Amino acid sequence: MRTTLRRGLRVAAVALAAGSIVLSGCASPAEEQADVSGVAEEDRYGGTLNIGLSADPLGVDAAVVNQVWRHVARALSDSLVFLDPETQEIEPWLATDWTVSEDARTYSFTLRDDVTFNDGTALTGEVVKANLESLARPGIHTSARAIVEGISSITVPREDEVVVEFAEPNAAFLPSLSRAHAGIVSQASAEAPVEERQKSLDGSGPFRLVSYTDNQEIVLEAREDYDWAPDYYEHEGRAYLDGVTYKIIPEDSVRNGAVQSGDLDFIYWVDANYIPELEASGLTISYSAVNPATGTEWPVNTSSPLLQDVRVRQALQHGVDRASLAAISSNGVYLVPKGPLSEENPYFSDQSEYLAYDPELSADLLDEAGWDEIGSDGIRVNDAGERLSLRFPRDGAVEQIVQEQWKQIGVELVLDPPLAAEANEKLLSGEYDLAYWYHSSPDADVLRANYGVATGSNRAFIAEDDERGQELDALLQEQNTLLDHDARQAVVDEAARLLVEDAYTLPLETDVDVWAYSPDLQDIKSNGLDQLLYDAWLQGGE
Amino acid sequence: MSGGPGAGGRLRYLGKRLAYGVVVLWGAFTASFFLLYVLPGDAAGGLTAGAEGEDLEAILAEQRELLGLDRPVLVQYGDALWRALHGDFGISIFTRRPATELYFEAFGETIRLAAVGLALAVVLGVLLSVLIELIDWTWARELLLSLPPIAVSVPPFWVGIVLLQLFAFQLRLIPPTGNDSLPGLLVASLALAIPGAGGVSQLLTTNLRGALTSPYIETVRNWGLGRAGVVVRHALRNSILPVVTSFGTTVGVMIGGTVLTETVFSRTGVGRVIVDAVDGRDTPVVLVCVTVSAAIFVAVNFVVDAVYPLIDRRIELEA
Repeated sequence: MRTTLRRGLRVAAVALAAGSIVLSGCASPAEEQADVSGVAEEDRYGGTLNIGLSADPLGVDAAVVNQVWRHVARALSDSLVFLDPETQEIEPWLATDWTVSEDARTYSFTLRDDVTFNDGTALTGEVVKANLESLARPGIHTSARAIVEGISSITVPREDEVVVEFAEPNAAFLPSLSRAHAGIVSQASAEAPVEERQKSLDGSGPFRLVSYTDNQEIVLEAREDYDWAPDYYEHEGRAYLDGVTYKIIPEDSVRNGAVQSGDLDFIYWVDANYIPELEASGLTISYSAVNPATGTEWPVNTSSPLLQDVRVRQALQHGVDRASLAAISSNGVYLVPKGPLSEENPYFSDQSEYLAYDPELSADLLDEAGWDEIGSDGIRVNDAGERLSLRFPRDGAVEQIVQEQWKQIGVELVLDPPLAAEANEKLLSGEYDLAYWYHSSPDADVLRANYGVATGSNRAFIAEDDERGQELDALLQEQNTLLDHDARQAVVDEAARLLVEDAYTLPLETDVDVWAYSPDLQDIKSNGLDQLLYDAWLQGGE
Repeated sequence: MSGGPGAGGRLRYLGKRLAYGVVVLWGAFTASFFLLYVLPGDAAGGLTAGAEGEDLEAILAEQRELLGLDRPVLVQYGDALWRALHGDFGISIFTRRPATELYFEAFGETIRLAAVGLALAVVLGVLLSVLIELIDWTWARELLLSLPPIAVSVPPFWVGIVLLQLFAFQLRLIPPTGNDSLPGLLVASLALAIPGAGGVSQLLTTNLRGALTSPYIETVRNWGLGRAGVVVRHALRNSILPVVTSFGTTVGVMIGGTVLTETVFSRTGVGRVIVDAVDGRDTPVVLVCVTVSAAIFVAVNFVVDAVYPLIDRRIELEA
């Protein structure tokens, strides 16, 4: 219901664009962007950053509600380790160092001794233990629970140490820990009932929560005593900004208007259609927030009678013209994927050859697979008289473009979306020939979580007698047991190749979270899709 | 009925109306409960949206147990009805706050918006209709006559976006978001009032036409009253009745319009609460919304039924 409403509003907004040009007469020319490199550090303090949100995130705790990890939760809490967006190495944060056992099952952390939470309590091993235990409770969001899944024991040998032991090897634990889902909060916050944590928490982040008004705004202010930022940042001590206000503005065109008029300083997930207009009004447009996991991909349901033949799946893979898909669906903003992992993923490898657009090859593969007759409607038919018609659970721009492209190779894609509340269940039950899924975790283990059979979600519905599928599963399980980067990389590369070569998944595009912000806002950084506000400052500190 | 308009007859009539209202309330509650149940998907699905976990099946089952969605539907219904009778509609699944609290927080905002919108709609509608009757130039009258159908047919969210662009971003007279400014409330109410005013004006113009061509107005005119006096003091009084009758509907349209208006103006209110609740199958919140909305309708219609005979003595009380 909301999507149709929003679509209506978007149409209205486009219709209005003409009108608003008339209303505005002529927009004021963009002010010359001043050279900011010369602003001394002490002159960067002050000001409140106003950020537009498209919906009420329903809370501030990434362990309980979805999507808030991008923004509010990351500003309120720190993690044990920091994933450096430039080097893609795991760096110290609340933990100064750590050791991992050879079998990737035991992680020992040494903690900083100078960290306090917003409620004044200190960071200790016991607090970390309480945090990790609290994430295993019912009511905690699955993304957070997945991080602590498989922990067999947590011990605190010394006040500033904590040892986490897994029943099975888990090489992905550190990258997972770096995310806001595992942001460390005070003992009281950790042990609070889930519904209390959802709306307020005491973290050790550079900002504290001042107020939360449902459907209106979330207000944060800087912590004066903050002094434990990761080395990656350019300064130390408290954040430059005095405060951050997140304003909830559900309507796209209104959010755009508000950032153009200066009522907001920063918006994100900007629809590509609006970029020219926002750029013309002098805003900074950033394309640096790239999904570090997989991007948009369609897992293929290999249990569907139509898709058991690998040649049919490969025909679909080569039947997608990804370059024109990106050009049409996002005005070329999204990236053309080069494999099942995003280029921003630490374990990315280039598997482009298996994703090349080759409709002739697709036609040959389909002929070979027995779909060699083309019916009067242009859709292929096999000897049994079945049409090559596939059902898909979503109906949007991307789906319609692929539908059109597959029509060229004689494949019908029926777009038959379920209601939002039943989508997960329907996708999991395998009643669709293809599905979609979305991940944002910056590690190769996302492939196991998605396609693993022994452990994982088996989104390609790989059967026991599917030899290549079982081979793939063995690789996916193995990569999470390897600590040596190069050894793990080799296994991941093999798995990535198999995933796309045999078309267990169809990577379509790597999404880029487009940011549009005031030219007064400097040094706001992205880490994957996370918004890092610690180094950000406002010129003229409003 | 044969009781005539005596006090006893009126009480009996109002009593029946009241009983009817209670049935409507129960029906609305029950229908929305089962509608949500029959609709595919449930809140557990919504709660796990965006999940990056692994064993989603198990987590869905656990969520259902947590929310009590694994119980037989009749048990769930009986429980919900029993608690609702005590004024307890349960905890909102997504915000994890009492559903009634959530609703009534938003309720005040929506009532303000709808009340100001309704007042504006009536004032604008009546003014326009009277103006149409009083204006002499044919071309101007034709122009004014074309306004109500346009006002009724323009999409309310489009009106909202135009007004917001103009008042917030061009003239900067109102803040673009939030509930806290009076000018902001007025502009948002105006967006809501325009279609309502069109409706009021259409109805009123038709009735004024009828009244002004009727014999008794001839008589009034012969008393030597000026045209404005005739229109305002006599014709209007007789034409306003159907507008009052349609109040129930107008209020409904207003409340319905708040959904879009609140979205465009980023105001909190019942409109946004109910859309989100239906979207996520947040049953406790939906039940509060539907029950209270139904109660408002019942109350408005009850009041209209009660005051109607006072406006027009000739109305037969039928029960």
